[in-house]
Amino acid sequence: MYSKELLKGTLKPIILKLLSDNERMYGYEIVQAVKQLSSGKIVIKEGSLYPLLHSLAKEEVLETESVMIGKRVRKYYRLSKKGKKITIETLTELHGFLETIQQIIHSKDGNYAFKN
Amino acid sequence: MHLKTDELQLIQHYVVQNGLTIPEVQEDIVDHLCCIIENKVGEGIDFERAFEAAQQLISKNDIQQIQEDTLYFLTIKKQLIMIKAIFITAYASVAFLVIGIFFVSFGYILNLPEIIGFAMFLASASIFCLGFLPTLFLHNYNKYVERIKA
Repeated sequence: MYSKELLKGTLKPIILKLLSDNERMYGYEIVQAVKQLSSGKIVIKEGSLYPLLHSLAKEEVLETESVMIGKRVRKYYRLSKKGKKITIETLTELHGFLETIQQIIHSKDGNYAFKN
Repeated sequence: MHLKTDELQLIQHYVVQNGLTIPEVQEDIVDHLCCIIENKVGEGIDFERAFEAAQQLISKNDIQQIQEDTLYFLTIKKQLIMIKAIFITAYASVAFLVIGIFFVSFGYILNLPEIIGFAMFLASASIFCLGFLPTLFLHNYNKYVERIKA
């Protein structure tokens, strides 16, 4: 399991990526999908997931669809048109960020200009 | 398999009783708990034990945190706008007051019309009464209502 600090900044890209690969998903499905794709290394807490989903829905990044499952309501989330655009931007930014971090982590000792 | 009506009501009661008041989020959490329980019941565990296990995964504290965090995300932009409005109206009111004092106090030395000073006083009082005070009261009222609801 990774630390909260590492996960905090990546939850939004993870959700957007999953929704871009699937037509629509509900909350429990998102949690299980992330757990499975990460081989159990990333388990999203409901306390992190649902506030973010509702915040993205309010910003019109996500659209919701309510479906009756037995006697309860299940809310499916899907990317809106705006959401698809934001997903591309977010994932591009994350990709660039990860490459930059890789460069720093794998740099050899002394390979920067201002070292005394 | 789907849960029975009384089982579903128990789950709904658990969510509402622990402070989740936003209807859209209630639906999400109830569905989430139902999925956990249905999976466990599918593995042969009885409803009561499955419900207890689900409550360990989404505890009372978790539900309260979900309520707070969702409210925060949904209202943060509106709150920031209100706080900006409070600061801007306060600043504008003080600025007009200071300019008014300057014109009234030194107007006769610099040969400036005193009426501008009084106009500044009027502007300051108007912004204070019609801008700053209502915004401040509305902001505090909303916070008070949120605390009461919680």
